[in-house]
Amino acid sequence: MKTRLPRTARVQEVVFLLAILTLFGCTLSRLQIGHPLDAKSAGLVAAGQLTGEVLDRLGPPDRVTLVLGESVFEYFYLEETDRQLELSLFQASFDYEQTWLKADRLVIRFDREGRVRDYGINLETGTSR
Amino acid sequence: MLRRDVDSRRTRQMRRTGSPRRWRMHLRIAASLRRFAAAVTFILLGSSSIGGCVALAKTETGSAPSAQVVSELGESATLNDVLSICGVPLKTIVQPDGLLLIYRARYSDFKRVGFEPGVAIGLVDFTGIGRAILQNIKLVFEWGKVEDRSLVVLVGPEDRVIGLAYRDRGDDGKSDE
Repeated sequence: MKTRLPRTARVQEVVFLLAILTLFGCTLSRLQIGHPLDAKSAGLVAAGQLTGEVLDRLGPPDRVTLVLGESVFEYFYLEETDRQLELSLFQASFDYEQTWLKADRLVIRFDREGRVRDYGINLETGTSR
Repeated sequence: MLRRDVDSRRTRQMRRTGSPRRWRMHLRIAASLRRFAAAVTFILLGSSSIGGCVALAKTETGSAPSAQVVSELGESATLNDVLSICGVPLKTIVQPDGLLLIYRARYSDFKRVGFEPGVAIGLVDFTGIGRAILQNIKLVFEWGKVEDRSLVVLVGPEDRVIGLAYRDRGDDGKSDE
């Protein structure tokens, strides 16, 4: 006499089939650019600080630009996550791609005397400490 | 075991799963699923050794002095000292409070691990829709990191270093204070 398939075996089959289905045409990628920022970084900066003090407290900036004689220091950390699904059957194909680009940025603007005029921080990635 | 016990057990099973016909159908489906799972496992295990791929890529762009070299810069170092110890900077920016020298080396590290048994299926004499479906089986992981080693030196109007910041790969570059 045939016996009924045990519940655990059924669960195993379903899990296995789901695992196989997730293998279909998937590409998962993650790219990190720069060093994660410290959430307390903005607290280390204050208006009126000199360039040397900012360098000492925050380290080398990732980008330095000059805007109308005023310099801008930028510290950033970028994270790009990408998920891609590619399926094809004979001549038909289906592609689906999702990309997330998140950035943590701290921007400090100096006045013409080299003192901090204003600054701002934006944390999006959740990786920064 | 008494016959009436067997009968009552069968009745209970039928009550749970419906009619005997439905129960047999369920068993057939379960058996075919098992066969399918076994076939896919066999194909995956057999072909993954042929259809896998690993790619590693590392690049290094620019140059920045090491921490040991930077430690040679004294507090009263001049622009000439900085240039002779650290070399020519990547960028020089005239700031309101001095000259900013920027040294930067960029390191990128990419890895790719692909699990593509579908590639190996091409080696097997197996045609039809099954082959077309199995060729889709692919799982690829990619991850990369781009980091800098950088040194920024601020030389004041009196030709003395008034600010210095160094960050190597993996550290945050802040002073310990």
